[in-house]
Amino acid sequence: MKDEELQYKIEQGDAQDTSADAEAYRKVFSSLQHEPEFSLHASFEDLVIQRIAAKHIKESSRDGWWFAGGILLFIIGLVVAIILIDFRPDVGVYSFLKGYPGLIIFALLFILALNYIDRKFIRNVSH
Amino acid sequence: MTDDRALVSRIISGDVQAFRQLIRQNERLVGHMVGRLIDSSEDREEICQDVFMKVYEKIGEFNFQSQLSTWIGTIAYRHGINHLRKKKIKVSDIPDEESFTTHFIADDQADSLAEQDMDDYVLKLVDHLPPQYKTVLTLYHLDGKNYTEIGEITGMPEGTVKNYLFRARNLLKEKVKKYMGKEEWI
Repeated sequence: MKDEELQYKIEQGDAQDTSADAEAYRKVFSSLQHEPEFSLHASFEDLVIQRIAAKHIKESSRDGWWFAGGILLFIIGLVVAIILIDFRPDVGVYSFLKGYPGLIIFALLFILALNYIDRKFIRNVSH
Repeated sequence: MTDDRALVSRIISGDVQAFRQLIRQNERLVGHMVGRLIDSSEDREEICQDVFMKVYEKIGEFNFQSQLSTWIGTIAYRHGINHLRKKKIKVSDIPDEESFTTHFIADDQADSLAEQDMDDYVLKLVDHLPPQYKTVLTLYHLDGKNYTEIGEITGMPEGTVKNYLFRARNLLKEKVKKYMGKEEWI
């Protein structure tokens, strides 16, 4: 009988074969079912959860530093750009509005009125 | 599989108790795999923790194509193998069958370690096998995984899994037979 067949037979629980090979396979299969000596720490679960929590804290702190660094770099870049191009605040093309203060007031009132009508009538009807 | 989906979805939504449940369900499997591959007891515990850390990190990527335990087994196997590689322990090649068999059967290192207890003796012998053999034996005999699942975990073709299992058990049998003093003289 081939060894492969013998392994299969013993695995299926054959007790007829008493050859040395069969006996040896029985012992091997039985021993392989035994738990190895190594076992995890009793509080293994807690240790993993603690490590995850610590990692989260570390990551969120790192994110915070990256964010602060980004803001700082942005401010530095802005200041450098302002200095390099000698930037002066100027309303530019909108300076013509200085001559029409009434137009600005009308625009603001018009927008507020539209907003009021929207909230008072249109949204109320749709709800 | 439905249980797996529910558990994964709870973990993704941040339920720590669900993750604790996942650890409880799979720590035996991970412990077996890592315990078989890694010799150092300090490294074993840490690697097992690393495995579950990785599981937590990657759980959102689990696609339910296999059982959750199989996926976790894959992570454990990769961690174990990577650790061996870091320690410069060769894992890629299975030694030449004939020369390894001769060397393994002739080697009496394990004989002196556990002369009284057959179970201890066989487990010591397993420690002297190549990592792939140890993994296949452990997954099959201890964790009740079938050839397909072992193939998924280790990335080996099913035929290779069967072959390694056969060869590993055959080597152990030869050694045990010798140990028992029942070897037939030809």
